[in-house]
Amino acid sequence: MSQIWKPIFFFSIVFVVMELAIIWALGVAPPDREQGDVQRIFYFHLGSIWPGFVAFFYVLYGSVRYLRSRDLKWDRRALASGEVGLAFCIIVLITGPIWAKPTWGVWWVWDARLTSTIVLAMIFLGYVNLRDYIDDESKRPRISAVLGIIGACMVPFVYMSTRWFETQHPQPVIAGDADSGIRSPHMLYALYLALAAFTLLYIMLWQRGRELFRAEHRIKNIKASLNLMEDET
Amino acid sequence: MTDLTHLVLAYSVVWLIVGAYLAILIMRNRRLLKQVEELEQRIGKLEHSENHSGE
Repeated sequence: MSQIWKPIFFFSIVFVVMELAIIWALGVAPPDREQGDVQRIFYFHLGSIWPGFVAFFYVLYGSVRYLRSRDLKWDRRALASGEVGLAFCIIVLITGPIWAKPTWGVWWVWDARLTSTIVLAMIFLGYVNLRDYIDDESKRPRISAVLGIIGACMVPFVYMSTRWFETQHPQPVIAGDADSGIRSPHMLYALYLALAAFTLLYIMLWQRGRELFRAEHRIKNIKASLNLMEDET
Repeated sequence: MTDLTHLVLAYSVVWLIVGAYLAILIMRNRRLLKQVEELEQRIGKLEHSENHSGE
């Protein structure tokens, strides 16, 4: 498949799966018995954070690969993943309070889950912006990699926080206890479709981001070579 | 605010954030295209000066 058709084909798949996820979440899945229609926020709330966690774990993987090989390719890949993960984390941090207000009566509580998620977002906000403030090019990816690893290590804590502490936030639905989770098959399909749609969206955005960082790096190298050639002439 | 308003608000936020990130990627792409144009001009100038020195 040509270089032009590949992204278009992938975008079409993301579009179709996302449409199906929206149809199932808003139309097909029944409303929750206690919360009513507002519970439908759940599908995209949870659907976005899981690929977000995957994105942060890729930052961990890319950062470790960079620190071992010192190949900037891994730094760029990790950075692209960190950016998408941060965007998904912001989605969860905004959709959460919108869902919390009608169900809990408040927009925000400083419980372990919500606080650890905001700390996670802050770490990755620092991770994607840090390199703009470090002038030394040799230190820049190394410090970013260390921060990326620290940030990714927060993910298990965020997941386990509802089990380790008493929280307003409900128990995990994915890999949760026997009494947690959803039982209606259409609710489950809506959740799986949302998870699939956001995972595909993550892959698509990460690929685009990675390509842009790669192009930026190549242009920088060409500029440096050109500067040398101009100095010689 | 009704439940429906919250639902619409939450789903709108999702697309606003995804759209904002896409806009960042598009702006980054435009900046790179500008840099490529600038490099092409510089290469053109270099080739021009090399041709003149060769003559």
